[in-house]
Amino acid sequence: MSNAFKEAAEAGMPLLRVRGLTKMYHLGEDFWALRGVDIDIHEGELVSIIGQSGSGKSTLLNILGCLDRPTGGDYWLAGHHINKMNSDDLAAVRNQVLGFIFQSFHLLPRLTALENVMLPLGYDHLRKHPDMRAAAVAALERTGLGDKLNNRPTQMSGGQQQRVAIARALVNKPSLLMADEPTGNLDSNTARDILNLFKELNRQGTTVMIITHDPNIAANTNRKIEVRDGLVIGDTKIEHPGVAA
Amino acid sequence: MTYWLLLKTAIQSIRLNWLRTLLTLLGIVIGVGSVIAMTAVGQGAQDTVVARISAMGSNLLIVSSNSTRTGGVSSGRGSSSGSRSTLSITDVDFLRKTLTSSSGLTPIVNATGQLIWGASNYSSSVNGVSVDYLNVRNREIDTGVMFSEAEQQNRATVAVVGQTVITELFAGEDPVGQQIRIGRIPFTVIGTLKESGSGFGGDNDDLVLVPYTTAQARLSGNQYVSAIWIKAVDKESMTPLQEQLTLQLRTAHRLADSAEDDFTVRNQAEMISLVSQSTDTFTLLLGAIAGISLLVGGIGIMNMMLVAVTERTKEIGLRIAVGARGSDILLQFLAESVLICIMGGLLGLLFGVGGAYVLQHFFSVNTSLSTNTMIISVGFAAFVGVAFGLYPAYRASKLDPIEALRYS
Repeated sequence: MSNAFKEAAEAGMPLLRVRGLTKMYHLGEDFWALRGVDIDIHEGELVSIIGQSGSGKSTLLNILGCLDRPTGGDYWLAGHHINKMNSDDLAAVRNQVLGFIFQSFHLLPRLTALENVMLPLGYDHLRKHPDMRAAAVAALERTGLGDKLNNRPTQMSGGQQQRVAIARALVNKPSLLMADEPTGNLDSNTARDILNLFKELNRQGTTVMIITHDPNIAANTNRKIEVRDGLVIGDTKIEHPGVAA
Repeated sequence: MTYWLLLKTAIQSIRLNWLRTLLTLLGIVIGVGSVIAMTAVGQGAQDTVVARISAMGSNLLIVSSNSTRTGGVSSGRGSSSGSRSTLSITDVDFLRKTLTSSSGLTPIVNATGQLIWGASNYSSSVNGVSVDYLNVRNREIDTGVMFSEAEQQNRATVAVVGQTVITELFAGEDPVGQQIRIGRIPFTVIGTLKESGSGFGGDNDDLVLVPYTTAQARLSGNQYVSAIWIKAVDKESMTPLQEQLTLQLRTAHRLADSAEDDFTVRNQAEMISLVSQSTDTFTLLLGAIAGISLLVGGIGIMNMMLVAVTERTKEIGLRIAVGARGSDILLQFLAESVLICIMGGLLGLLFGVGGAYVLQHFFSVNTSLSTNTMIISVGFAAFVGVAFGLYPAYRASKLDPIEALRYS
């Protein structure tokens, strides 16, 4: 572990800060997917990042999720200077600071709900988890699946699967929950339930970031960051977020 | 990831594809099994030969004559009675007086003869030996007595017979006190030898012992002896004894310094080590051939693991996304291949031991299982798991999580 990870959060720094973030791909010719993005996200926020496909939002998500490295610019998350970290430290950030939620859930089909939720705990090299099972049960109870502990993903509905995935993201008590089109594979009723779950988690103090292309979902958050052509083109506070319909 | 969790994850993955795993495992099972069975066969062969040499008696030096000069070592039992020997009874008497550290010495006067008892006859090897014979060759009298010093001096026509002779000539009857003829000379049987079993170079029970003096006077008709067997006091004194005896014999034979020995001294310890060496090579060869199948099994493991990594690309991506390090992924796949190989190794151990048992009990092949070989071959199987699992595991650990999660 480098010192970068152990350092306490820098004073006055928001939970997430990016400055001048760029990303270039070599696709025959140089292609700039991100062309200088600045974002601050504070603790307790419920933010949506909205953009059409090709806007650079996926690239931004991959970098913010510590799965990819930027070409240029700086990224701080929970006080850690992310773009200066080595890959083991990045793994620790993904494990302990971030909670990832995917559009297609990405549950391991051969594991039960409980085992799926326990998965991140096994990769925590820094903290001891004397009772992984209890932690996983608590996370599943928070997402309303306390009675489905031993079901396998194939025995559950899409909404239930996404709740398992959310419990898995919550189990390590992350500072930031990052959801990539979390309702994209769900019918509208279930999508509403999941959105309400995010709101509930946010009310309980978890910072939530939802990446989406759907303005209706963005309208349910407290703040909407709009991305187009690799740039942030709008950052609006939503005073009275709509109740998910 | 804790080791327990690693093991649990590996078992989960193996159970998911148990048939495929079982088939791949078979290569390792056959490899380890054949290494164990083959080396057991090789070791068993060695044990048999060494036991036969040892059965001749311990700490033996065998002097035989170089009656004809041939390249290499002369044949096992000394020269036949027909050829002229360079060793004579004077050498025997001389050595008996001069050798200080021998605990026994017997000449062997070979006289193959037709044995006749009543109406039956049988051809056996008749050895003219001294009273010391029993001590030198570690033999014991079964019934009756060995001939005495006096009988030896008086060239008494007495004989001691082995068990095979009892069966063949006397049809199992008690031979002690019976009159037989060896050739034309009548002998009285005064004792029988305890069974010694099949020995190095033939049946140790198919023989008749007579005093060497009698053998020379009545059977061979000359002063030559075909071999002299000398027993050293202990293992350590064998080499000095061998040197001393060579020197003495050279003096006795008046050999010039430049002349080669006209006799050969063989040291039983050397013979054992020589035989052991050659059977070791044999065992190694068998083991190596079997080891190749273990390697082939390893290639099968690698193949399967590469398929497993591809199949589980998405899983790997997810694991990385929730915080697995590259080393976690590497260890996970390595644990899986090592576990498969150890399982194969243990199954192979079972098959190898079972195979050796079947060979021993149903095909009368002497086998000797060695704990070392078992440990080494199962250990080698685990090593194969590491060696052939490393590349697939490395590939898995280097997957790009973004690509991996998108994989379908």
